[in-house]
Amino acid sequence: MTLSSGIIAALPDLLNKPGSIPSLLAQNLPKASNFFLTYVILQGLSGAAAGFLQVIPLVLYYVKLFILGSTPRSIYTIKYTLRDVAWGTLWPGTTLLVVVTISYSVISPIINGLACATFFLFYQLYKYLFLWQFGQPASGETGGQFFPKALQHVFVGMYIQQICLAALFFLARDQNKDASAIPEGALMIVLIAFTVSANLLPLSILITN
Amino acid sequence: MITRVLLPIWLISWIVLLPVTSVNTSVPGRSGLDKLSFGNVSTDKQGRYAAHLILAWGFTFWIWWNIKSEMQHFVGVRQRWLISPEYARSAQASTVLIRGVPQRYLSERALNVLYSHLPGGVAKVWLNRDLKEMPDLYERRLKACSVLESAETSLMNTATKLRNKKLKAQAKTRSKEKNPSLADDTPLTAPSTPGDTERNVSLAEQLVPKNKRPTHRLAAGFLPFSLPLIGKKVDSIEWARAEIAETSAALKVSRTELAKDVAKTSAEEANPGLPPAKTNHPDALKISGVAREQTYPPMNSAFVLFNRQIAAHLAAQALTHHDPYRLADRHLGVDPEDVIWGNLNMNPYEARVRLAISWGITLGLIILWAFPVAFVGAVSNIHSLCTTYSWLAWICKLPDVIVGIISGILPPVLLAVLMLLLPIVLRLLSRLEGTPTRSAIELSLMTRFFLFQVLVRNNTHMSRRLPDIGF
Repeated sequence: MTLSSGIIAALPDLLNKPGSIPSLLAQNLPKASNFFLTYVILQGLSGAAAGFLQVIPLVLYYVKLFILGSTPRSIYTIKYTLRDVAWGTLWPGTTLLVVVTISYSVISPIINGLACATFFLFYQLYKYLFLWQFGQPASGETGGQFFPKALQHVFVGMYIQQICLAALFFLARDQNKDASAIPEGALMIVLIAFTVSANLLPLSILITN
Repeated sequence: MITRVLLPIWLISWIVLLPVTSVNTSVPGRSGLDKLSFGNVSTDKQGRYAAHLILAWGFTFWIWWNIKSEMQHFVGVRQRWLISPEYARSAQASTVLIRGVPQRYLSERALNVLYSHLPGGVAKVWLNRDLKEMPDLYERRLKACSVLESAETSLMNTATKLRNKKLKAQAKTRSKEKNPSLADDTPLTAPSTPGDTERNVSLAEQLVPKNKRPTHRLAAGFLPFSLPLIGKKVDSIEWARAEIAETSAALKVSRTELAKDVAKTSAEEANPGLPPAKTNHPDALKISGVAREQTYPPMNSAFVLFNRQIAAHLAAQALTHHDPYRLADRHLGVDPEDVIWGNLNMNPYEARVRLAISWGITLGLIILWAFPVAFVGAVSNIHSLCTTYSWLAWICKLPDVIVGIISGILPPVLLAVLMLLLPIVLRLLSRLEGTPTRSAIELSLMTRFFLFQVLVRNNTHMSRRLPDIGF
C-alpha cells in the first residue's frame, strides 16, 4: 500500500540480489511514465502561472507590514528590500524535471515535447522574476557556483535513462521467448561506460581552450 | 539552455519514435498514451529497438556537447566576473579565509611572513580569537538598540495620539466658547517647530504619563528568554539606555585589551623570517604554550587580506602545509555577513567526523521521510481506510464536508509543510557540520535536496504505491 512498507518488504530481495535493481527499475519506470507526463506539464503550467501571479508574496507583504512594521526602519526594510532566492531549493526542483525528462526521453518520447514547453515557460518566468522581482544580496553571492553542480545533476538523468534502457534491452523477448536485443543492451553498456568517463573526467580537461 | 537542448530531442524523438512504437505494432493491454511508449513494440518487431538505441546514443552525445559548451561559457563568465572592477576592488575579492592554522603560524606576523612571497604580499592578517565575553556584549548592545528604537517609536506614537486628543478637546471647548482668536492654529502638518511632537523627543516624554510609557519584562533568572507575567517589569527606554551605556563601556575595555594582544603577536622581531615556535608541538592544532597566556588567545582560523587579487587566488589554490588538514580549508571571496562565526574554529578532525554523521543523518532522513509522506497518502485515502479499519469507523460517520476537507485539503497542506521542513533540517545539519558560510550551506543543501527529490519523489511514483495526490 505504501512506499515505506513496500521498501521494507522488498528489502531482503534487494539485499540478496542487488543485481535485480536495474530490472526492477526497468519494470517500474515505464509504468510510471504517464504520471511523469502529467507531472512535467503540471509543473510547467501551474508552476509558471503561480510564479507569474506571486499571490503568496503579495499576501506575505501585507502580513509582514502588519506584524513587523513597528518602526520606520522595519517598514522601510519590508517595503524596499528585494526578495532573494533560496538557491538551495530552487535548483533541485528544476534539475529534477531535467532528470525526469532525460530519463524518459527514449522510453516515453511524449515527455520531450511537454518538457520543452515547460522549460520554455520557465525560461520566460525566471527571466521576468530575475529582471523585476528578485535581488541578490552581496553576502550570498557565490559567483555562480550552483551552475556546475546543476550540470552534474544532468548526468544523473543520463545514468537512469541508460541503465533502464540497457535492462529493458536485456529483458526484451521475441515470440520464442528468446532474448532478442542482446547487442542493443551491450551497446548501452558501452554508452554507460562512456558517460561515466565523461562525468568523472574533470570538466576542465574537456574545456580545451 | 535546457529548452534549446530539448528542442531537437523533441522533434527527432517524435518523428522517429512515435511511428516506431505505434505503427503496425501492438501489445495486448496497452491503450492510450501507453501505445506511444517503449513497451508497445510487439514480440515479432524486436528489430525496431535499434531506433531506440541509436537515439539514446545520439541524445547522449548531444547532451554532452551541450554540457561542455555550457561549462565553457560558465567558466568564461565567472572569470570575467572575478576580474570585473566592481568585484575586484572589494576587500573580499583579495581575502582568503584559512581554517586549521597550526600553532606555528598562529600569529599575525607568522602568517604575514608565510605568504609574503606571493605577488604583492600580505596587506593585513586577522586571526580569529577566542573573544570570550565580547560577542555576548555585542549581541546585548544590538538587542538593546533595537529595543530602544521600537520603544522610542511607540512612545512617540502615544505622544502624538495624546496630543491630538488634547487638541481636539481644546478645539471643542473653543467652538463652544465661539472664540476662535484663542486657538492654537499651528496645523499638525506644519514644518518642524520646537513644539513638533514627532521630532522633539523630550516633549514626547513630557506628554506621555509614566504609566503609559513602553515597558517590557526581563528574563526571569533561569530562563534564556522572557515570559509574560514573570520577571521584573522595566521601563524599556531607561533600561535600553542603561544597557547600551554599560555594554559600550565594557566593549571599550575589552577592545583595548584585544588590541594589546594583537600588537604583541604582530610585532616585528629583530630577526627576519618565521618567528621561532614557542611551543613543543608547533604543528599541533590545539592551543598551548605562550598563545594560551593571552587574554584573547588566537583560534585556528584567520583572514588574510592580500594587496593583489591574484595573490589571494594563488594562496587559496596552493598546498601550504605538509600535514593533513593543516592550513587546508581555504575559502575565497568570503563576505563578513555570510560568515557563520561560531563555525570558524572547529577542529578539522571534528569537522570530518561531523560531516560523516551529518551525511548519515541526511540519508536516514531521506529514507524515513517516506513514512510521513506515506501517512499523508493514507489520509488522502481516508474513505477506504474507515471502512477497512473498525477503529477509524467514526470518521465515516462525520459529515461529508469534514471528510472532504480531511481527504482533499489536508494532504496537500501536510505535504507542503513536510517539503518545507526538510530543507530547514538539512540546512541545520550542514551548519552543525561546521560549514563556514551561509552560501556554502545553500550549496550543500542543493546536493542533498536533489538527492532527496530523485530518491523519494521518483521512487514514490515509480512504484505506484501512493495514491496520486498531486505532488
